[in-house]
Amino acid sequence: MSSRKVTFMGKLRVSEKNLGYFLVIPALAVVAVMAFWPTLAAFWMSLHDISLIFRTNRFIGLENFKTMAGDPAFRNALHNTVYFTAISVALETLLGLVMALVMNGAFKGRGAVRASVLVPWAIPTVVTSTMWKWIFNTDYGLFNFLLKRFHVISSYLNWLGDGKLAMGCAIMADVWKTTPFIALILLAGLQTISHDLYEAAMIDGANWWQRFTRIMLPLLLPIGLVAVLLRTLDAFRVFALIFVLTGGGPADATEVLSTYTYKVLFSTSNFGYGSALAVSMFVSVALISLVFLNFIRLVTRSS
Amino acid sequence: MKTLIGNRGGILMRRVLISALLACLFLTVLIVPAAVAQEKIKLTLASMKTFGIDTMPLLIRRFEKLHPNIEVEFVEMPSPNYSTEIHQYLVTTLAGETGDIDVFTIDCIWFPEFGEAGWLLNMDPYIAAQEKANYFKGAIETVSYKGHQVGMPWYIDAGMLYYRKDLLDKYGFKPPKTWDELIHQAQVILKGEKNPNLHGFIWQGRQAEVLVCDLVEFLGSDGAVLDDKGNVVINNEAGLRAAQLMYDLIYKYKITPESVNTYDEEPSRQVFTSGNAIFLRNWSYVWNIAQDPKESKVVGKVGIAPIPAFKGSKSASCLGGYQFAVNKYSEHPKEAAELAKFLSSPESQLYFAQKISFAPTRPAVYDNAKLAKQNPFLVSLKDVFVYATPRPIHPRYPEISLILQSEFSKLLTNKQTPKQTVDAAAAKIKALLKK
Repeated sequence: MSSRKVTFMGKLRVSEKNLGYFLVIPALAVVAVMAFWPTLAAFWMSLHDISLIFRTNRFIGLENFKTMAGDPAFRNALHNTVYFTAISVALETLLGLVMALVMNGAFKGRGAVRASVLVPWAIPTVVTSTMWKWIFNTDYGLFNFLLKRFHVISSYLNWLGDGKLAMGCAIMADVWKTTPFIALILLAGLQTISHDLYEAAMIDGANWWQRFTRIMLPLLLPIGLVAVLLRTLDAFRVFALIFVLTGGGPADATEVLSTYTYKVLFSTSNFGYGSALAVSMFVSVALISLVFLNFIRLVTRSS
Repeated sequence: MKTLIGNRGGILMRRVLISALLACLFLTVLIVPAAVAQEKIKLTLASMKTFGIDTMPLLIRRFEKLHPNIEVEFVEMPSPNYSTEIHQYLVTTLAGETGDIDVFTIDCIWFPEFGEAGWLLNMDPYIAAQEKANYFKGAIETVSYKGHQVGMPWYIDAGMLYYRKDLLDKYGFKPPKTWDELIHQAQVILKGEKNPNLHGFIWQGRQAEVLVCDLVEFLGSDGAVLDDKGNVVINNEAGLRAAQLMYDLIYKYKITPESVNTYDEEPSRQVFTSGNAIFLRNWSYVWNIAQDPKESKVVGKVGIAPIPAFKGSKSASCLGGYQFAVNKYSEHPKEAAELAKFLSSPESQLYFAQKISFAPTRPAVYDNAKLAKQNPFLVSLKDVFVYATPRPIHPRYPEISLILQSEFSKLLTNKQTPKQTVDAAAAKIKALLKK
């Protein structure tokens, strides 16, 4: 196939493979300028002591990463990020699956439901975060009002002012917003599963649970993993939600890697250490992707 | 023959004519813009957003009329409650060391930082020495770095105590001068009113810059984060006393709700203007909202006073406000300085005071009879500004602020004691300053 010759622009005869390379050059150039160069620059800056304020710019090797290893604020942010990512993605996947199953069924007004489910996903994060900030407000928030009205709590809780509760609130807001994303991808996956498979299984006497675990879940797994991967990467880099909802407080309880990096970069103008933090995020995200992609490859090969 | 020559001459003439025309065209293309550029100098003013949409543009037009050779382009930055974003914009723009912006508005706390970075034009050559005496002393100190004036004062703001005049009158109280008085009054009124929604004293405890402002006020005139020589003194007696008070207001006297640790300016203002607090610490902007029947349930029931102090000590009111500065890398420093001076002139300050209630940094403007009649509140603020106290002055202030925000947020969420708080803050700031 690669040795096949094709005619290019009426004259040139080139192999199809070479033509392919030629045609992706513009796209690659854009990626190189827009993605690779800034990434490499961040790597390079992470090996320097750069302070805009004190006008220092000197090479210090891995010193920034050593500082990071002993920086309790970094460890706290890393811990919070992993916690936030694990819990929110797990909840989103479970709820998303349930939503997809419901939407996959035949019922009246299915189109309207499918469209309305997307609303949270369609609103900009900054807007939904501001909305949730008011919902969780201690004195006037809807959340406290409803919980008290239905006697779940006896007195108002300080949702965003208590470390543990604040993280829970952030996770809840994230789940509300991004579950539709997973649900939609899973729904698309569900619809590619041929009905013949279910019918054959039914003829063989498989009950609902067997059809669900033996046919639906295995066939949904590859696309489901891709959805989970995308969500994990997004959740790991969460910024706008936390920035608006709590600003990382109270007492650093919701400080995540991206908000901490932002503060170091732009509040203190410490570009060397800030870049090192950004690089650590990049590496974490790359590792997560690698693990997931290998897993996806394994799954698709075995099936 | 003749016709031939004539023909040839015609072609030649035509060629010459066309060449001349082309040359003229070229010259106009080259010369005209150069001439226009020589005529008009273009300045860029980056200003924060104010509540008067056309306030700054109208003033710019007046400046352009006075200086027909200067054209000012207006870039609007976010409003001051997004100071983090303004800081980010200014840092990334100024660090480029190009003249992309010439004059900009700057939060008073960034002068040491930007001054150290060498981004601010030294204004000394552009202003008369006696001119400094026409401003509040604190305002000139704010815009100075290492002995040079590196900015032009714009407006001043300071923390103040709002109180419910009707409730204090009902129980026969006068506005509190000390913290003990405030606590006593709040407890008595809360007991008497039996209103579960009413809070005693609301301030700002959110892990944000404003927490440091409130801290400066609790420290009072005896306390400080850094002393005059730059030593860390937050863990001295006055520092511990301030931390203890902040803690006790919430957990011992229970006149401040725990939710104060989520409040920045606006949420705290809303509690007060919906009638659910006796005392509020906030900036001057709350006054106008409190008098607006559409926004406020306490119209005509509000008074202001300086921030209370500890017994035997003086009140401290956190100094705030935006100022003007000129980019050192401006291509037209002389004209840019002229614009900054114009924006800081008595006429401009009176204009800002009348249009958007920005408190002048020139005491003389307060004596304007028209202003006193139109905005008596603003004029009365002169008494509060006497106590205006700056936040720690240090080029590393943003980092110091982040440490204070984190440690005092831990105190307000009951994660550590007052003693642990001031000790941890002092240790971390000391380690930072050693770098």
